[in-house]
Amino acid sequence: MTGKRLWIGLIVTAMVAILVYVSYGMINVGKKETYHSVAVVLGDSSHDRWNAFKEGLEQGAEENHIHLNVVFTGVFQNQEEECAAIRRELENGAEGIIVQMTAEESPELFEKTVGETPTVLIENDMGLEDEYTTVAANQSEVGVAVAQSVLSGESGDIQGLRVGVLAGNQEMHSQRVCLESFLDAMEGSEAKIVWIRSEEEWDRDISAGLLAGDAEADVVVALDNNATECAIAFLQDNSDVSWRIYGEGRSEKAIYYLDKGSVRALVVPGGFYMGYKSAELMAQKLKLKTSGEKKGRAETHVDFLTVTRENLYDKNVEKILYPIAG
Amino acid sequence: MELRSIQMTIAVSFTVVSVCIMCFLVLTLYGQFSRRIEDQYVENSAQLLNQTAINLEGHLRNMRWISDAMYYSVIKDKDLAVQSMDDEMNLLYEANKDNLVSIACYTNDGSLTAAAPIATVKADVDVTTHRWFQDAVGQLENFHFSTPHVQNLFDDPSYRYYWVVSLSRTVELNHNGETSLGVLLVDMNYSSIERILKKANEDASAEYVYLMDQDGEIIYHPKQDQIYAGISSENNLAALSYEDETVQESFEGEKRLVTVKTVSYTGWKLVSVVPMEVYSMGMESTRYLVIILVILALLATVLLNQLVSARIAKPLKKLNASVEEWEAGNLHPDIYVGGSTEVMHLGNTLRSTVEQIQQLMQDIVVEQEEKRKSELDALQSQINPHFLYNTLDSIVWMITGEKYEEAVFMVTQLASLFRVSLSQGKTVIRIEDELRHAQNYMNIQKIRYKNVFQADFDIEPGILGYCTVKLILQPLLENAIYYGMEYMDGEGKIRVNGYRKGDDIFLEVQDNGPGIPQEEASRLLTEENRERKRGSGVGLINVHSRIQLRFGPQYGLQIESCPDEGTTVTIHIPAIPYTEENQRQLEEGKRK
Repeated sequence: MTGKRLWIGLIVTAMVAILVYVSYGMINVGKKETYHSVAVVLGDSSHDRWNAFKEGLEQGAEENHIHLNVVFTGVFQNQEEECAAIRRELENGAEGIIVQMTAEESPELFEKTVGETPTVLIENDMGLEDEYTTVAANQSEVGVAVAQSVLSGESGDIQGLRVGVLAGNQEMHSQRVCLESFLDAMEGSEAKIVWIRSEEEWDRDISAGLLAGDAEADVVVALDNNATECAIAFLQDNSDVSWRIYGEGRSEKAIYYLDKGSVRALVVPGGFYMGYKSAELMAQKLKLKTSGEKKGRAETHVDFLTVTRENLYDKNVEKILYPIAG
Repeated sequence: MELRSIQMTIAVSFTVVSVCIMCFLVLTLYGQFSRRIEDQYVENSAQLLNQTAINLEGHLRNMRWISDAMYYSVIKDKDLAVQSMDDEMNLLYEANKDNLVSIACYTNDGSLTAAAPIATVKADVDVTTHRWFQDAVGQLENFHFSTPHVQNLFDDPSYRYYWVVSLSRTVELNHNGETSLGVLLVDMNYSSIERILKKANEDASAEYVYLMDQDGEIIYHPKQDQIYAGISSENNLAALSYEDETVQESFEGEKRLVTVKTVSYTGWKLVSVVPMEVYSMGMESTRYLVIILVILALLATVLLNQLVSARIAKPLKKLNASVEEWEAGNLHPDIYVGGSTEVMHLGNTLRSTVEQIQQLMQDIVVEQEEKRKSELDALQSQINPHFLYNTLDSIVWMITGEKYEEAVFMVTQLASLFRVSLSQGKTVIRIEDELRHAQNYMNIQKIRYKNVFQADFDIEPGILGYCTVKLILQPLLENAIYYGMEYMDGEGKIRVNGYRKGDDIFLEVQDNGPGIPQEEASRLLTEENRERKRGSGVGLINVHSRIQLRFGPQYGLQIESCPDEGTTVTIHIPAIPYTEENQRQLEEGKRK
């Protein structure tokens, strides 16, 4: 009798256990995924060059259950300022950081600031590509692509071509790599690099009026979006200057002047893809952290297009260049 | 575990049947419910597509109306050599600018005739190379809708760009009465179409709707940017081959239901995609609910079956326990009567059977007792005259020989012997009386046999007050005299010992006669029809049976004998104090 009661007891216990398990499952049906809060720190975040990136970021975040907080920022003056913004976000409960480091005086400061927080670097790997997940165009290839656009754009008239280089923010590792590869790619040509100015030097020389006598160049190569816009602005402001601009960038202004003919070619990184991938990789890192695993590292290279006035309205180009949601 | 018990059999059978029926019902109902849900999804998709198509067609009809209004009410009425259509065009644009980016009219060579809003034409733009122009030119009365593209006509110093869908048609332009052909372009704001389709995609589920043109090129897709960036993909080229129908397809390892609806005027196709996993996700809570209900029903079934089977089996078990008790040797079991009518009937029948058997057994016992008694009485009635004759004969000789004292002693012993023999008709008497009877008998026999043997009694005084069956010692003494003492010539010894050992009493009759082999001694207690040579004829087996009849089979006689050494016959009886109650119970055979 005891054995029989034990048997019945076991069946009833098993059924009750299944009941509890299924009830738990039923309660959890439709329970929304936990959203993670991620801060996005970009230099001059409201600039329209980030539009495609933000659109990709938002779509990636939505699909990967991330709540985004794109920090409203201006142009960072130094790394301490940028790290302070990151610190503030972490103190406010950010679980992950997607950041474009515009200055890198002290990688240690950055490492200390983010600590074990899941971090995705965009555009600039700070030379720490072995330690942090990075989503960026291959700057080495971008430099080469810009050089090729100059060589093909000026075909037949390279000999004695005077080239000025607006090298952008040379405090950024990515920009240094880009400049280096550009110069390497140009080295064999008959074109002559007449000047190279970093963003800081450009601003300083413009303020000091030192550029006028030094502006003689046939072609100006701008290695980032800001540099391209600076070159366009200089061209607009100085009617006697007749630069042909080749550059890297994707702001509406840069594209407009490409359409107008002031810019001869633009190397445009896939901003939407970069944003989407950043969110996706961040979600993976957050998942790894939740499961107690060590931070995973990945490097994703973003494709880029070389756009000229001729192919600007090609179907495949306009799809990348003009985000529909924008 | 009593796997084959009636309760278990009933419980398991009921449970298995219930579970099978339940599973069958649940699976059938769940299958029907799933199909109904799937049909519902298909129906909802079709409704959504129809509604979206109606909205889209309404929008496109509105654009056509703008184009018609511009053409038939403005362009046809104007002599462009002297009149301008700018005012009417601006008016029309202003009235519809929520949905329009621009309206423009070109001559067949690509020169701009008029445009609204007024804007600077981009330098170096040759509209004749544009697809919308090429599609429209030369095809009078036909409308052409382009796929979405970035407008490349006018300069916008604010760097803005516009995604548009171009509606173009060939128009006749009047210059001083001469008619030439041109192209009227209505650039619809793509965001209007996007708004309509976004509304169709508001549902947060995985179901979505997209729009493609007649060549399969995507016009709107909720993941359009992702598709353009190569992150996602769509099976649009396969959908192009579908008629307006619902098709099940497999794309990138995912099964999905695809419903297609063609939009009027344009040949565009609206496509609704419902991944099959949407069903299962929608059914998830239902599935959980079904499992919970099934388990609750199973629990209830198991417990109910347990209760019902226990209720059915309990009376049977009790009845079975009664039978087992009876089988175990309890001759007076308490037979259970209860439960259902059938079981109660069984119990009653069994109880009556047991009572009948008890009665029969009692009758047999009484009958046996009566038989023994009558046998004993018959034997006693046989021996008494013979013994009496010999004794009286001895007394006559004593009187004749003037041995008056011996004669008196003899008569006294004889009287005492008969008094004990009678014992008021009792069968069970005190051991003291039985011993007195034995001593009387031995005294008489010693005189008769002229003291050729000695008779000694060594009895523990404590046993004298216990019960014994009457006349069990005398036959043993008689046997000892006849078979042991006759030829002893004064050396014969008969010794009677009485003692208590534990709860039993033992009375031994020892003689030093010739003895018999042990095998023969054993047969004395088993061979019922053994012929007796001498004596009263009351055999040892008779004494043995009488003792067992009164006290039980564990009691009786034991015989130990060895040739030339003598014989010892031991009476083994229980130590039962002689009281009236005990005596009465033993007489009635109620105490063993």
